[in-house]
Amino acid sequence: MLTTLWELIRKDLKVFFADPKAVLISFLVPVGIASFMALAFGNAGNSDAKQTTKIQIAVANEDSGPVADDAMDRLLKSDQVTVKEEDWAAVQRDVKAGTLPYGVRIPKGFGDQAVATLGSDDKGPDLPSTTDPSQTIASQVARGAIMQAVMGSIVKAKYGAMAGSGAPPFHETAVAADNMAPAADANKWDGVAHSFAGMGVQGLLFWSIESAMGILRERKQGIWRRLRASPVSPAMLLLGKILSGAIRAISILAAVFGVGALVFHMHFAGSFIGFLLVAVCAALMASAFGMFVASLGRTEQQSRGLSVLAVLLMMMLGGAWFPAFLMPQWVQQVALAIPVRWIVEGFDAMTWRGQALSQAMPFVGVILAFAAAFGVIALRRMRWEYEA
Amino acid sequence: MNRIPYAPTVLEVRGLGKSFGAIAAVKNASFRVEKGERFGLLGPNGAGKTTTISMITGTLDADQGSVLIDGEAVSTRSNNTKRKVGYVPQELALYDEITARDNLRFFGSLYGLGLVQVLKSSQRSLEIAGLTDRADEPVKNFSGGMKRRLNIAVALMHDPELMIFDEPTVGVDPQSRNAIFETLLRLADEGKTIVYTTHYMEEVERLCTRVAVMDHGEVVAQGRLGELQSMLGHGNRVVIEMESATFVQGIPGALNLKIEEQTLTFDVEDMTHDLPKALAALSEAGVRFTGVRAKAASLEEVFLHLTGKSLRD
Repeated sequence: MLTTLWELIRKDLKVFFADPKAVLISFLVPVGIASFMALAFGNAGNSDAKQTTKIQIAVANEDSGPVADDAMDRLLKSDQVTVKEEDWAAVQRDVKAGTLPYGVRIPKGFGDQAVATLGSDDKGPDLPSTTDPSQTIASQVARGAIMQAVMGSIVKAKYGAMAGSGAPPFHETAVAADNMAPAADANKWDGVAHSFAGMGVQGLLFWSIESAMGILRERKQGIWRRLRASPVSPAMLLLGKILSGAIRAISILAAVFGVGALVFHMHFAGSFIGFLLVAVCAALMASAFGMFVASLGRTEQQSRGLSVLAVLLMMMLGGAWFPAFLMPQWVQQVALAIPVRWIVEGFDAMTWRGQALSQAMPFVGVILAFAAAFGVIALRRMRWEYEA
Repeated sequence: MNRIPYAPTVLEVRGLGKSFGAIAAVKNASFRVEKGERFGLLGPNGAGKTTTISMITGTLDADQGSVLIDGEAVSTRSNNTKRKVGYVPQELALYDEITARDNLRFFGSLYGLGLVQVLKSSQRSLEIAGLTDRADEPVKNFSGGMKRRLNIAVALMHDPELMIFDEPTVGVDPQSRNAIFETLLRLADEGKTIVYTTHYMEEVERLCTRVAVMDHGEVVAQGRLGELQSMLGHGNRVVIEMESATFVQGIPGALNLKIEEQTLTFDVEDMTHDLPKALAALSEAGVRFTGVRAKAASLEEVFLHLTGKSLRD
C-alpha cells in the first residue's frame, strides 16, 4: 500500500518537474507578488518606519501673523503631510483638479481672533477648507494634521511657550502581552511578514486551482478511466494526489518565505517549528482544496469559474490582502469560517507576533480540519465513474 | 484460432444493463468469452460497447445483471478481478510529460509489482510495443501510432490473462494499425484471451474468432463469423461468367441458383468443400468459364441484415 502511495506521489512530482518553465512560473508568480506587496506596504503602520509617504496639502496663508506662521512651521515639520503654499484660488483649483486631496485658507487676522476667542463662548474665526471627495482618507489625515498644528499654535500663543509644545504630560509605554515570546523584535507590526504570508497563501490557492484543472484534464484524457480499472481505491488515488500536491505546495511556500527572509529580512520572531507546522498544514489544505475544486464542476470551465471566485473571496475576507484587524467586526466574525484567515493568522503569530510553539497548535488544528473537510467532500463528490 | 474444446469461460456477461438518466446505454447484454478466444464486440458509435467494457473493467457499476471474470463478480470495488484484466482504453491514457519507461513503471506499480518485476515487465512490454529504443523519451515526443502502442504496452505490465481493447485503432495510420494487429495476434498466440471492440467490420473479420454485434445497447447477434454469415441465408456467393448462356441445373452443393444471360450465381455453405464439386459438375456439363468470383458474406451485410442500417450510419 505504501509502495503504491509512493508511486502515485512520485509520478505526480515527475510530471510537475518535467516542465521547468511551468515550475519556474509557479514559483515566481507568488514570490513576485509577495515582493511587490512587501515593497509597497511592508512598513505601513510600523512606528519604526524609516520612510513613509506623506500627503501633500495646499495652504493659503493670508494671515502671516505669529500664530499662522507657527502653524506653518509645525506643518512643515509634520511626518504626515507636506505643504504647498499658494493663494486661495490656486488651492481651490488644485483640489478641484484632484492634484491635491485637501487645501486650507488661513484668513487675515485668523490668529489674533482665534487666540482671543479661546476659552470664551464667542464664535471663533472661520478656517475655510476644500476637499477632493475622491480622496477621503487622505483628506481626513490632512485635516487632522492641520487641526493639530493650528490648535497647537493657538494654545501656545495664548498660554505661552510651554503649552502645545515639548513632551506631553504623560509617558506612553508599550507592554508585551503574556503569550509573547521573549524576542526583542516581537509584536512589532511587520508588513513584510504579513505580505509574504498573505501572498504565499494566495499563490498556493491559485496554484491549487491549476492543479485541479490538471486533474480534470487527466480525467478528460481517459487517464482516470485507466486508474479506476486498476486495483487502487479512490481514497488511495485521492490521498496520493493530496500528498503530492502538498509537497509541491510546500516547495512554493519555501520559495516565497525564502525570498522574504533572504531579500526582505523577514523576521521569524516566534517558534520556527510552529511556523513549519503551519506551513505544512497550509500546504495540505491547499492541496485538498484543489481536490475539492476538481470535484465541483463537470467541466474545467465550470470548476475554474467557481474556484476563482471562491479564492478571491477567501483572500479578501481572510486577511491575506490586508490585516483582518482593519476590517469591520462582522467581517472578522465571518472570516473565522475561512481557512485563509487561520493560515495568515498562524503565519503572523509565528513571525512578527513572536508567539510560542504552543500558540501554533490552534491554528494547526483548524487548518487541518479544513483540509480534512475538503478531502472528504472531494472523495464523496468526485465523479469516479465514466458515463461512456 | 479455433475454439478450444472445453475451454474454461474467462469472461461471462449476464443480462447486463446500465442507464444514464432516461437513456438506456446497455440493455440486457449477455455473452461469454472462453480462454484463448479473440472475441469481437462490434457496433456503431453509441451502440453501448464502451459502457459494456467499463462494466467489465470495473470502472462502472451495472444497474442490472452481472459480469464474472473467472467466476468472480466484477464491480468497481473488486480489486481481484481488476488484477486479471489488461485494459487498453480508446483514449491515449498516458502522461505525456514523462518518459515511456516512467509511464510503464507507474501503471505497473498500481498492480502491486515490485521494482524488479516492474523493470522486467517494462522491458518486455517495450519490446512487444517496439519502443525499446525510445523508452527514455518523454511521451509527448511520440507519434500517434507510437502512443497507441505504448497505450497497449501499459496494459501488459502485470501480465493479465484477459486483455480488453476498446477501439485501439481510432485515428491511427495504416502502418501503425498493422503494428497493433500484429501485437494483438502475438498476444493471442501467447494464450491471452482478447476482447476487442470496434466499429470497423474488417478489423473483426481479420482479428476475431467470435463476435457479438451490438446496436442501441443490445446484443443483436453473436457467434462465430461463419455462423453470423449464415444468418443471411447465403454464406458464400459464387458468380460464374459463362462463354455463352447455358441452362444448367442440379449442381451439387449449389443453393439459390440464378442464371441471368451469361452470368450464373449460386451460394454454397462451405466454400472449401462445395465450390470444387460445383465447378467440376459445371465442367462436365460442358460449361466453359470466362470468369469465376467467390466471396464470403461480409459482416457489413450481416449488420445490415440484422439492424436494417449500415454500420457506418
